[in-house]
Amino acid sequence: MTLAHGKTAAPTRLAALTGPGPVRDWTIRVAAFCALLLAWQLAAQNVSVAVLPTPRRVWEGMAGLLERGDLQLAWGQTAVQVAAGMLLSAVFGVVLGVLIGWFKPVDDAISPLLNAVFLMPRIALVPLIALWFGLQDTAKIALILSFSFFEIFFTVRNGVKTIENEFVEVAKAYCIPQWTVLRKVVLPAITPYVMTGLRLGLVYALVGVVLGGFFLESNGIGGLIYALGSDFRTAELIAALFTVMLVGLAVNLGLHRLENLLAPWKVTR
Amino acid sequence: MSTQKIEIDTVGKSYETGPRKKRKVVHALKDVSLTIAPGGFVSLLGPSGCGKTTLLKCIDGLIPITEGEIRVGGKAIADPGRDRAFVFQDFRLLPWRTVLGNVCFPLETTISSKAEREAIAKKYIDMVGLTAFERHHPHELSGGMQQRVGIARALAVDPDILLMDEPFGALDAQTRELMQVELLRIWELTGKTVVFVTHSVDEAIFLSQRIAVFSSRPGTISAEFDVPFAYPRTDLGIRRDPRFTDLRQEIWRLLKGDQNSFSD
Repeated sequence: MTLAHGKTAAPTRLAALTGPGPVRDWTIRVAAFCALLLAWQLAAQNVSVAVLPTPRRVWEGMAGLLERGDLQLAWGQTAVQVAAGMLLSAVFGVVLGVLIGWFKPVDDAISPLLNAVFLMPRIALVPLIALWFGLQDTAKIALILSFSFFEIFFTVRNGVKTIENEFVEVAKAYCIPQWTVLRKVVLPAITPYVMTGLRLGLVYALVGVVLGGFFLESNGIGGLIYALGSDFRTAELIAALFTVMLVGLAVNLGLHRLENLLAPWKVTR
Repeated sequence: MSTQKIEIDTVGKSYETGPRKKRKVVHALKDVSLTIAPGGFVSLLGPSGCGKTTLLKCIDGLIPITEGEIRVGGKAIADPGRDRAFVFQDFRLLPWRTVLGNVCFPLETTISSKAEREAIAKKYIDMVGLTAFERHHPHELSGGMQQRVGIARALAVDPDILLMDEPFGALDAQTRELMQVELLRIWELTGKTVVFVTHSVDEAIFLSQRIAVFSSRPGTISAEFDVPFAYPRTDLGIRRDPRFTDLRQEIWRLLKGDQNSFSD
């Protein structure tokens, strides 16, 4: 041990690359990314451009979409729809989650019904949503709500039930009145669950809004993806898909950061 | 100084379990009787699942009993009260609150002045030796320190009786011995009655004046022992005493005879 430490800096640098830690992790990630890019390039050279364009063409497609403002327009429409849908989901999900988790008789009465709707593939609701709300923003917001509400609701409700055993017994032992418990114990304690619920809900909201662009009025990122696919503009299609991936990643990471900021005692990965 | 006697009078606790058509009645406690003098230190000792924690929660009023009566200061208890405070094995601190905020928590419904609450809380934070950590959050503290907060929170409501449910069970051996000495110091300082649940024979002997040994299925008290050592006690002084070894063996034999699942 002492001998190895006495040596020069060179083995240390090598150890940083091979030993566990952020340096090794990032080395592997970058290497994997390059390998994937190379494999893509090699595969693309042997097939039609309509099936798989080269990475370079996708990059040019991205530049074109940005230059014409197609992506900006689509994401602008999508952002408004997702924001409205998520706001409704968050309000309904959190309020119902807390009430239903806290009052057991309400849970027994309502949860089986909500569970049944949750288990149904929500995409099957599209025709009904179209009949009720038309094809435009209202309908898309309803579709997003149907996708993201349940994630938020069930996460919050289960959170309330979990903390009941942990903290509510403490409050009971110290003779704290029930409404004070709800305000001072339950609401702060569910913060990490609300954040997790919002994160999951947003992932599903993105699914909902893309599907909305396919089946309802063709606008937003879903509409753009559909249109590009129909026109065999594969390079631009893949570029648009990349933006969906990046938005998903960014939103997920941002909410993770926020979660760790608001509930530092419960660090999730 | 505590003045209230705890009388546990032929207490039973049973509950139904299993699917609707095959309901079974489980007797968690049966015919438990025990009297605890004001200011006393009594341990409830027994293997896991023998009902000692259930009895402790019944004394607090967290769990209703199904037979008999528990009287504190002559009055039958049904609900948690401010004359009793509970210390949990897993600390149960509110993680979003600081040490000070946690100790203040039970005072918030009874004392409206924040300054007054904090003055009381600080007194007990000092007593458990955490003065420098007032503004820390629980996740920044070690297990031993978190349980010190748990004890300070219990003391802050100024109860007559401290109900402690394996409070040092989650701590490592060294911290555990330190905390035992600390607890005795606080007990002698405050004069509270302590009911202490443990499954460690050594811990029970070192701490208590009296030990009630539980046997399981149904949970009941099979024997009571008086511990012959005077306070203040020091760890080394007691463990070397032949009476310690004798008492230890006697209790061990009793527990082994009761069932083989017990190990420590």
